[in-house]
Amino acid sequence: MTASARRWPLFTALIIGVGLMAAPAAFQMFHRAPLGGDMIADFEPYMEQEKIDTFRGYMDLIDRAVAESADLRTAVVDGGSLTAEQYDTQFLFAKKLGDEWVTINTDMTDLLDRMDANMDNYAAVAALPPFQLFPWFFVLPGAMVAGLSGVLLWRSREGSTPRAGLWALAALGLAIVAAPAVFQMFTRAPKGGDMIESFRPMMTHERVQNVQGYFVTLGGGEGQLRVGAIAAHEAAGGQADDFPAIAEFSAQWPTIVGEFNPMIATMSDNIDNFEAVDAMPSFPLFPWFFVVPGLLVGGCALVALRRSPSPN
Amino acid sequence: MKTHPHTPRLAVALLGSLALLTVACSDDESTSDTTAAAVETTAAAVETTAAAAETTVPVTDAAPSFEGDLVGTFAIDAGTCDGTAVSGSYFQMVQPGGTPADGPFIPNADSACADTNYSLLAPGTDGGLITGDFQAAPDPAFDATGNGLAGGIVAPVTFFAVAFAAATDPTGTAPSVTATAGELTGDLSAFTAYYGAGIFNQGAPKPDGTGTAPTGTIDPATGVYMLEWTSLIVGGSFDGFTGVWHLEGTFTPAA
Repeated sequence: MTASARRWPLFTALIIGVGLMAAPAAFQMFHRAPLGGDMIADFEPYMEQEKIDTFRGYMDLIDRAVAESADLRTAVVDGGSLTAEQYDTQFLFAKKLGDEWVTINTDMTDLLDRMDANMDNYAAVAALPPFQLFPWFFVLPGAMVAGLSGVLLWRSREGSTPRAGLWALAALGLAIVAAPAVFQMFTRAPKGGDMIESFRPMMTHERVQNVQGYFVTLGGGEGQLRVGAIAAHEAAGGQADDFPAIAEFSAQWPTIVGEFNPMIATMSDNIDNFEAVDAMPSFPLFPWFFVVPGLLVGGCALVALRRSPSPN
Repeated sequence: MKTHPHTPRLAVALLGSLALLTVACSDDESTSDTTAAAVETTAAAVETTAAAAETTVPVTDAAPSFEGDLVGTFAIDAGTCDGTAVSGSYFQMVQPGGTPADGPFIPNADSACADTNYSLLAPGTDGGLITGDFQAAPDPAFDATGNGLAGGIVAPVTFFAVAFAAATDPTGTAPSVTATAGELTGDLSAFTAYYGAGIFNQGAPKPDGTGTAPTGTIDPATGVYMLEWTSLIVGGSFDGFTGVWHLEGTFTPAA
């Protein structure tokens, strides 16, 4: 057995170790992974069934109020205080809300559906080790593999390779293979991939700007219904109680603002974070980034063991 | 001190000539009134001039009182609406893609104005904006429904049924305003709005130095001022919107 035949497995292990160490830098994980962690933390308050149900309740309430707003317009016009044209001009945003509600409702419901459908996926990703640590899951084992392989290579120049060191290298390879299983990455990482896939259409500047626009339409519409249209109805002899959904919408609106505002902010402030996570390698591939190098390192160590003379 | 014995007579002649010139240039319908007023003015001028001659007090130009760094309170005159005309202090919110000059603005149905693009401002408990010191928001800064509670600079303003409030963030640079020959500029980067459980920097320039400084005017003698600025909202639920702030009132220097 030549020296080079004994040493190439160790040299291969050294290269794999260096490769593991370099991978986070190559994928910009030191920058991107913490941003992903920020995103996961920021979305936490909204990835709860109770919160999603609350938002759905608001959408349902607004839906009923918008339906009533058409009746309110008819009542005001029939009351004679305003013509239909005057009503639409004076209460432009109330009209806009009625005209655009189907679009708003569809889009907002889609957002809620996506969040609702990814509740389990989010929980799986949130249960992963902190994102900030991700790069170090590559760097530390890579450094250990490279360091041990380097020492063994150095020792092999003298003609023999310590078998204990080779067994340690094999164990290290096995540990790297086992890591994804220990952290349940085979089940959790694909769920993270599904969530990224599902969130991709909603985490864009254009989509967030649309939601901001909905907020303006909703706020403007609510205000004109409350301050203007209902008052016009009352001036014509009607009562605010004639339109209970509008009254409830107005009563709830400050709370809705307080709830929607931070959610829109969370979406808006996490677009860059999402894009950073989306630019990393696909989540389902992550376990294999450990398994494959781990198997190779373990295999190299075993080959080196076979070619290394036994002390007996 | 050297005196000029012919000065009183010369002043009377000049004022008289001015009065005649005013009469000559005035409308026919108001000629008689104006003439009478001019005569009264001339007479008063004669008396004043005579008194001045008796006391021979030297006349000097009053030095500007409000020049340089203005440390004190920019007291706010409450905004008012008369039809579509707005005066006093107000706030507007420009939608993304719009401009402070042309909008589009967010209409505030809770505005007291016919033009709901304007939200009127009224002085807060401190009377207005203090320079050289901070007017921090209380802790907590919001009530249970997200109404802003800071009330030192301006009284909280209802906007979309929720009150927004303003404060100057103590983590930033203390507000400063400088006057140069009646023109105002300064650093209001700490100016912050609180709305719907969200906190929005509304500084000018922005804390990172971007954006433009506030501009305005001040009467160096009286302290009557106008100060305005725009501030792009970066991040949060109103990312891309621009706040337009217009303050009017009277500056009072710190004691």
